[in-house]
Amino acid sequence: MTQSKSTADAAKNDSTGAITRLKALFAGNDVFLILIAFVVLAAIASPSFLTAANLSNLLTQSALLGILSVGQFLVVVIGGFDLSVAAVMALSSLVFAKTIGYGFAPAAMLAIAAGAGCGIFNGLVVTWGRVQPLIATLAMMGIARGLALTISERSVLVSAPLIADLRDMGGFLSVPTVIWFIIVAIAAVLLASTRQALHVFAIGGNETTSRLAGVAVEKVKLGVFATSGLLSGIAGVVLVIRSNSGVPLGGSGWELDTIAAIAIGGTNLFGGEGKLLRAMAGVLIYQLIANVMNLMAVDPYYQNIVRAAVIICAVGLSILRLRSASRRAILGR
Amino acid sequence: MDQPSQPLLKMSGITKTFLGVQALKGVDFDLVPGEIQCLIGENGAGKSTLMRVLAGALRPDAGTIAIGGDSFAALDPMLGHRVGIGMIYQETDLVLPLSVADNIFLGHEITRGGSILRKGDMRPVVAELMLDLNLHFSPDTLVRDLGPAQRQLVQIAKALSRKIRILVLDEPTAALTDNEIGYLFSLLQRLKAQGIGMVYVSHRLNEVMEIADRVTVMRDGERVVTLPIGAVTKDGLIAAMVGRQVDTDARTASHRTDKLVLSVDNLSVRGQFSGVSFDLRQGEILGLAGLVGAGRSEVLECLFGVTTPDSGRITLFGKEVRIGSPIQAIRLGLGLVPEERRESGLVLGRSVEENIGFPILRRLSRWLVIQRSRLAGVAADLIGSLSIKTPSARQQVATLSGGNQQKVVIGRWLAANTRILLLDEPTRGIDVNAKFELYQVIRGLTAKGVSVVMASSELPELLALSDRILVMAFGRTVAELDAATTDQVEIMRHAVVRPQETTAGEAA
Ligand SMILES: Nc1ncnc2c1ncn2[C@@H]1O[C@H](COP(=O)(O)OP(=O)(O)OP(=O)(O)O)[C@@H](O)[C@H]1O
Ligand SMILES: [Mg+2]
Repeated sequence: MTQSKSTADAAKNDSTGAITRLKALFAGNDVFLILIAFVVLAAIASPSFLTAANLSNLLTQSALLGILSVGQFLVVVIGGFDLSVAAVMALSSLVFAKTIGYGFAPAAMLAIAAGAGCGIFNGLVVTWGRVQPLIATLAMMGIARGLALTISERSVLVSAPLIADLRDMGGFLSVPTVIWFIIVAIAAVLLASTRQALHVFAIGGNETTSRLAGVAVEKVKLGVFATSGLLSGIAGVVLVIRSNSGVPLGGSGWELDTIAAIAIGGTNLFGGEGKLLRAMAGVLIYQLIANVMNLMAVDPYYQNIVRAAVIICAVGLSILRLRSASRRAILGR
Repeated sequence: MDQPSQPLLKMSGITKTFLGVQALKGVDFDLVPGEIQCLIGENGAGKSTLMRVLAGALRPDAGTIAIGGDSFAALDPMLGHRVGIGMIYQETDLVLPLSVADNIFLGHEITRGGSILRKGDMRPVVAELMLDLNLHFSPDTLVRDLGPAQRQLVQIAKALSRKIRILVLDEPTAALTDNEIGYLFSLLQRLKAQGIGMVYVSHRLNEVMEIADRVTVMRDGERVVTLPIGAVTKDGLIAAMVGRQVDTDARTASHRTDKLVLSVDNLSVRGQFSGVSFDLRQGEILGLAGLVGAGRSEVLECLFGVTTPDSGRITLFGKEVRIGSPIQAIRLGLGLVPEERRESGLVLGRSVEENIGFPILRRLSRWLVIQRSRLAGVAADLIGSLSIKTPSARQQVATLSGGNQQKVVIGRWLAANTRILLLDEPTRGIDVNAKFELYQVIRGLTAKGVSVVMASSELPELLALSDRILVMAFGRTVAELDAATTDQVEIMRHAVVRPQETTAGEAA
């Protein structure tokens, strides 16, 4: 009796072993698998999807959201939200467009510095002022958008030939795409290798413990908000390269898109956990859905609904994954 | 220690008030190099608060802290580390989503140029610390995936990874088994030989008698007395803590009946335990003994619907049931006091009263509105009978002392009219006085027909309280013993043996 039972057990063990292995593979790479699945679906749904022109276009369209999402990722990991990313980008694009007469480099520096300044301001309000990140950056969102509109109510067309050249440069990978990839590469390396990055994750995971361990919590937070602002500044410059103009209303609503995209990419919105490359895959998934719906000429109102549904599914999935990662945690949280 | 050495630490007149609660009232405390000084006192006496002041986690309102030659009005965590204070906090002080290695070096990572982590230099240090503590898992394991005992040991490794002169251990053994405690104690002896001064906070007087050089007793935010270990007895310590004599006899009459209430047949959860069978009768207390990792907590969690069994049957009050979720378990009359109470058992931001009333809010409500007065009544009863120390029933649970938080969780299930109470290490972190009161409460419940399954690592407690004792080892039940006739030695003999795997070859 024992024998038959144990053989049955062994057989069961084998099959569940395979399932667990499959699960492990899936759990580690689910976002990338979903991305591939979406690409396949998109190719089936629209014949014009899998063309070099469209894919190149998709990457260029993702670049701005992608750059902003790197900053958003850092802020979310440390346990906050940055609602000012898009507005700061718009402000920086105007600073750039208005000052480009003094030369490309000085104008770009000024625009990026403006973004970083906004970020530092956010950081000071959060650390010194002890204001919740959501509120602090909501205020900054209003300020930056307001400033941008004060500078110019309409888009400011840029006539510098260099900008036009940059716009047309590059083959499959456009200049915005390349800049995005470089930023992601640098960020990924820094995240994997520096003490400061580890502290970002530690603070997001347990702020009290980090403080008691002697982590300079305030400094790290300030650094994260400053970095997010700096990246928004760079995004502002890229926006001008892409659209040939400074756009005061550029990227409205994107602050929430960045959060949705990195959530699709498996970033824990409560902080402490996330992988940058997965978050970037989330950005691609998010942008891809919009791209396909445009190709298929879906009514924009429906597009919103579909996008919302995708966000819910993706976030639900990442919560499921967290649960299976540690069954015991059900009791915990 | 014939000659009183130059003190390593001298805290004088430390006062600390929290919103109306005076937790410390001018406490003096000193420590000499190479000494283990035990700090004891009832739940809420102020032990942890005093130690938090020492580590720089709290700013005292008044008083001075002299360490070596320097004197401070207050420390902060960074300064605390710099002057060589290592602190092992009572509550889990780890970043759950980070790895063990990252947690151990958090805040003092080895870097190149202040930024680039030198993982290669940190790894061997982590490996050595883990070896010292007999921890055999990868340093890359996430702390989230560790059990309470392992987390506790990682916390100790974390404190030892720094250069320390003073080590504070706030109830370090609450989550550990005898084996692990043995390792810890030999480690403390080595630290002692290095001249490190240690403060050891514990409710376990046996441990205190074993390792202390001196004992300090606190009561109601004041230091009652500090004595060399040679001059104290256990009963004397208890009397000093409580301020009166306590009845320390746990044994009382059994209320076991013949009526079968729960029958577990061949229950298994893959990777946790397998083939667990037992019966439970009305009014009976069934003890679950075994080493950490034997699967006791897992069995309780499975009965409570936290995990679903892969095979086996549960028969409750004569009916076979599937318990799919804790909510269902509660409806069926089960209650669980989990092992990690702070993390899993409490809504920290809410009041004591609400936490106690949590599972019975529906019963206390009329048309969706909670009847506050009835809730207050139930809560007041339990605050009294478990002697929960809190300024009021409306106090936020997060601000109670560690032991008092645990009493709140236990109180909740007592309030819920549970018919089968599952207790996982119920007296961990609870002071002696309250412990014996809790024994009485549990006995009282069985008299009312409640049945209890209780997992505990404290064998004397199991022996005194249980009717029968089920011993588990390596995820299986290995023995069922009559508590009246067995003893600690017999239980341990069963608990340490790996049960024979029934392999195909053997069976043939
Ligand atoms: N943050 C806080 N806010 C309000 N009151 C607090 C806070 N921390 C501690 N207290 C109160 O201070 C008193 C002393 O608490 P403390 O944690 O020092 O007790 P303890 O001796 O460590 O008890 P235990 O054995 O239960 O751990 C308690 O009455 C507690 O309620
Ligand atoms: Mg305490």
